[in-house]
Amino acid sequence: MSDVERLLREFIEAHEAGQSPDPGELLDRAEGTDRRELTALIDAYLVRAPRRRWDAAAFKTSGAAPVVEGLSRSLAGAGGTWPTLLPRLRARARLRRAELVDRLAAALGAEQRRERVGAYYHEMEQGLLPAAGVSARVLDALAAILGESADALREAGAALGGGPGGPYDAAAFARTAKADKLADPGAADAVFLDESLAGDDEPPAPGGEWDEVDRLFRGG
Amino acid sequence: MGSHSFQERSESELSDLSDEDLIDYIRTARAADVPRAGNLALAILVFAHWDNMVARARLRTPREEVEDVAGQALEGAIQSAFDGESVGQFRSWLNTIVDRRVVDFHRKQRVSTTRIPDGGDDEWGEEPSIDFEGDTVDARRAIEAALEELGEDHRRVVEIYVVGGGSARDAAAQVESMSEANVHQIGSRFRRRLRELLEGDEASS
Repeated sequence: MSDVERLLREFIEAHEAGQSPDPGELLDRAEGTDRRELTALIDAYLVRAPRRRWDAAAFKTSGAAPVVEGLSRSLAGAGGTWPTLLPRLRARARLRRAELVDRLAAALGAEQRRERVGAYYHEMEQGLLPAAGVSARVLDALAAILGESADALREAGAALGGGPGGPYDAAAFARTAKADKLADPGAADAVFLDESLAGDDEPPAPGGEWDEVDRLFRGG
Repeated sequence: MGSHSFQERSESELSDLSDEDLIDYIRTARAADVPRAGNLALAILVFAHWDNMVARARLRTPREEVEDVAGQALEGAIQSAFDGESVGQFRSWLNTIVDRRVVDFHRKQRVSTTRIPDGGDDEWGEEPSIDFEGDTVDARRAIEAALEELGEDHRRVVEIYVVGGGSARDAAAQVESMSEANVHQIGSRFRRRLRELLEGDEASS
């Protein structure tokens, strides 16, 4: 058996034993064409490998949990994929949320209403703010801060597959989700139903008077 | 659509569903306004593919980036499924999206990022070092090209014995009129051809 075959078998045996072998470590043990062949063979195995059987406990500590959390917000919310995209762009830009809000408020000339800007930005990350209401000025400012195009942000804000998308439907979802969680705290999916979804940042009262910041984030 | 038209399934039942059936279930739960049921199905779907996608990403991206790349791929594939833009089976589409995200990563040559630590949203860990040189070989294309040159029986042998982790005996038992000696020969020839394709790719790059 060649070195490549031996390393491939080593990877497959560990994978099928339910471990998560690091293919990078195996690749480091091969060079040149052997390394490229091993890359190709491990990749071909993974493309065809069995799906992992559901394990609620393993899920909670896996990297899959935050992905599902963002996706669940995206699917339920009014902001398309903003709940997955905005935190990722913010992480890539190495910005704390507070720093981003400072810069966004400054870009909008709303330093005096920083808290309000922060609440709206939080709703954007949570999928609670209808994307259709967010103005081009906000998206342009965010795009400049996050290093992404405003068009990409606008496109990401479109509700997924004709999702709820109506004003604050996502907040209603969050309340439902929280009620489910409270009713069944041991539910396997409770881990990604974050408490922060549950309406600590309620939108302004529909009948309330809007100021400039409200118009920027809700007036389209 | 009201929740009366939606029949909630148990965790055990959901874990036996195919990818496509899980997506249908999520879609139905969503339409019926039963988000908790849909979220469990979503978790099962993502978890089912997570390790494989992370490992595929790890083959060609630095350790610090693999979960980001895998996460983007899963999000993109699921988004496509709900936008009606996916092509063919979910798994095949997901593999395609992972390849694209890996290419994107190398194209952008962007600076690595750090995941937000468990301690809170406003804390950052140390910046990871960037010492990885991405392997730009299109390994998947080479494998698929080598497989396409084979007849159905020989292709099946390769899928069981070479890239499936099965033994020569397994392959001989599953493919009609195939001896273990033939399995070994087919496997050796396939790997020689794969190396030729990879070396040709290297010479032309």
